[in-house]
Amino acid sequence: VSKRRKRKEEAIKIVLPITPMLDMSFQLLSFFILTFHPAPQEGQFSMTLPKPDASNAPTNMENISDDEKKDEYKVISVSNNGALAFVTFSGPGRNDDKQLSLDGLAQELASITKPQNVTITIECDNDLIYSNLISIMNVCKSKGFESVGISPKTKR
Amino acid sequence: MSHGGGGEEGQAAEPDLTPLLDMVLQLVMFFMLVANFIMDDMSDKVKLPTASQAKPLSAKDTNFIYVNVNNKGQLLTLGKEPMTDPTEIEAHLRSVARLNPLGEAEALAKVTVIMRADKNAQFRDIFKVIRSVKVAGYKNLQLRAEIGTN
Repeated sequence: VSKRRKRKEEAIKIVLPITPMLDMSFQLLSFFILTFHPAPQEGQFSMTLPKPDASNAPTNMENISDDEKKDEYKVISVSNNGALAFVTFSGPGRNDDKQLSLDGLAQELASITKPQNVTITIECDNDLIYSNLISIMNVCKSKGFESVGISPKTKR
Repeated sequence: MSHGGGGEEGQAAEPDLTPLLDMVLQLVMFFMLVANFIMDDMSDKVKLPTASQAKPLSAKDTNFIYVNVNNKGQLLTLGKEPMTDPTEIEAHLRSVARLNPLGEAEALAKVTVIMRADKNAQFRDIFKVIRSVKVAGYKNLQLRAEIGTN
C-alpha cells in the first residue's frame, strides 16, 4: 500500500515552469530600460509678483514691483530683438548709459554691498525670449539678490 | 538510468531561478512605477530654460500647483484646449484654487504657483500669464528652470 502511495505522490508532483515567466520578465525589463528617460532635475526662482493692472497693454504699465519698501531700488533694462542684445543697469548713484553683457552686469551687481536690501526689477522688451530673462535672473540670484521682479519696459 | 540510476539524479545541476526571478520582477516593478510617476501636470511639451541658481523643491514645499506655458505662450491644461485669453486663464486659476483642499482663501495665500514656461516663449506671453496669476489672487509665484549650466 505504501509503494502505491509513493507512486501516486510522484505522479502528481507539480513543476512550476519558471523559464517562460523569466523570459517574459526579461522582455518587460528590457522594454522599460530602453524606454526609460529620467527627467532632468528642475528648480525654480522665487520672484516678486507684479501689481495687477487693468490695462492689457504691457507697455503702458508703470514699474510694478510689489516690494517697494526695500532700501534701494535698481532697474535692469533689456534691449533686444528676441535675443538679448545688452543690458543696462541703473539705480541710486548709477546711470543706465552703459551697455553691459551678462558678465558686465554680474560685475556691477557684485559691487553692491548689501544685496538683501535691494529690489531688482528686470524690464524686458515684449519679444524677449524667456530663456534670456532666466539668464538675467540667474545672474541676479548668483550675486545674492533675492528680491527680483519683472516688468515690461516702461516708456521713457 | 542505464548509466548508474540514482547517481545521476544526485549530480543534476539545476540553477536556482527563484532569486533571479525575484530580482527581475523587482526591477520591472521599479521601472513601471518610475515611468508612471511622470506627473500629468508637468507637461513634456515644455522645454525649460537652463539655470544654475534654480533651487529644487524641498520637503517643506507641499502646497504648489504647476502652470505650463508652451512656446506659443499658451497655457496648457489637462483635457482642455490651450488657453490664451487672460480672463480665461484667471478663471481657470481661480477654479484650481476653489478645488484645493485648503479652501479657496487659504489656497490663494499659501499655494505657490510654479510656472513652467518654454524657453522659446516670448516675454509678453509670459508676463500675461504672470499677471493673470496675480489677478486671480495668488501670492506666491516661482519660475521653473532646468538645473544646469547655461
